[in-house]
Amino acid sequence: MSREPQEPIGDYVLGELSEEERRRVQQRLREDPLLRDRVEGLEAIAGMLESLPPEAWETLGPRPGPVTVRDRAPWRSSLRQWLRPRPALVAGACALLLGAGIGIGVLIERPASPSGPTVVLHALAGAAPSERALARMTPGGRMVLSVERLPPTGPGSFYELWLMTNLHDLVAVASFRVGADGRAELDVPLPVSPARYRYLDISLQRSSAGPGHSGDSVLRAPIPT
Amino acid sequence: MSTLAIATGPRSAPAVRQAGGVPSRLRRAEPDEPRLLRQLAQRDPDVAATIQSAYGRILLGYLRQLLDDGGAAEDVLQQVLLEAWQRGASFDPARASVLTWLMTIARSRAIDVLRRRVPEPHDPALATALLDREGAVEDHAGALAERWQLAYLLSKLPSDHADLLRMRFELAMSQTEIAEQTGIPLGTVKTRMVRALEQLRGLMEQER
Repeated sequence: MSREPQEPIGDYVLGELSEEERRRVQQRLREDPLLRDRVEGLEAIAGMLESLPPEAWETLGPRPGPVTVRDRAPWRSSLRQWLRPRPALVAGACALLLGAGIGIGVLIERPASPSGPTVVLHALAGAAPSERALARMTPGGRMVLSVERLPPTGPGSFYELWLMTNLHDLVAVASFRVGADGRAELDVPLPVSPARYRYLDISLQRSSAGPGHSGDSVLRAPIPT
Repeated sequence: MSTLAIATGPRSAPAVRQAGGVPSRLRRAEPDEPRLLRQLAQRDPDVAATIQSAYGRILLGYLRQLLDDGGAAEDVLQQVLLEAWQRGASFDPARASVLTWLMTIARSRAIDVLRRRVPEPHDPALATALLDREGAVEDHAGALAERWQLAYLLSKLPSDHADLLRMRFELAMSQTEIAEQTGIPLGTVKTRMVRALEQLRGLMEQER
């Protein structure tokens, strides 16, 4: 019973059957209580998904596009999963990976020519005025970040790029380290649309501290609307 | 007695160098369940930050939708964090998941707020009507909580399955359109779609 071909069941639940096919499935459901239970369970979940508010979907990050399903290689998918939900791991691993001055973005293929709005992040009070960063949003929900003249990160410290609005609303984008030349360049996927946030922020983080924002911001810029 | 450090406290969110009011330690993260349970059991003051990091967006989204008032939602979220810390030692993971427990607290506190919005009735008939309304509010709050839990559980699915569900239900694409846009064979889309729905159903049942 329940292991009948799945397609008609899914199509039935999703309302993608012709009237004739629909009647045929309904007939099967009347004859098979186990199949009926299974379909009712799927219909309940589908109904709840139909009624999810947009804000609930947004908590999942950027909307999937064709590339995210078709072209995403398994290792990239894993990397992205690893980057997003486990910030402590990201920070620790980045400290290792980027020790040689290589940004995490280097691990991810870079677009040929970045385009889209550019944001200049300026030094905050307490930081040298010459410190700055350029962030370019690129098609496909990525960001290319170039930093200049930032103080080198020492052992146990790293920088973190954030999209943020306020205390209750921010998300970490990437961790990176800076060598003696004060430079770093990243090409990173954005976990959510930057339009939802007010600022791009770069903070100096301590590896020994928690994964949250250290409160030690060094560069920041409003995100253009 | 130890004190609770909510994310706004000086210990958990040191001042940002520049004015602008954008400090924070909040970020969405995969919950470290054993650590969270340990913190709850020990009434660790940092448990609020751990909860907020893992479940804050879901809780706040739920409260915002239910209360239709961002400020009130933020207030209730703080109450939820405080209550979770206060009652954490009595939390029994065998009875409910952390998420279900937190959503239950959030639902109760939000209903308290909704009740306070309704003036005390003097007319007995009106009192009856308000009681009926209260039942409807509780049902509504429960249904919304289930939806937000479902949103959270979507993040537990394999990304290819979650993406398919998002395309179908968030972007309202048909399975044929999904197949065309992604290059995945239509039969595979359909098979994965059913699997994804069944996985999500399984996760929901685990939560209940």
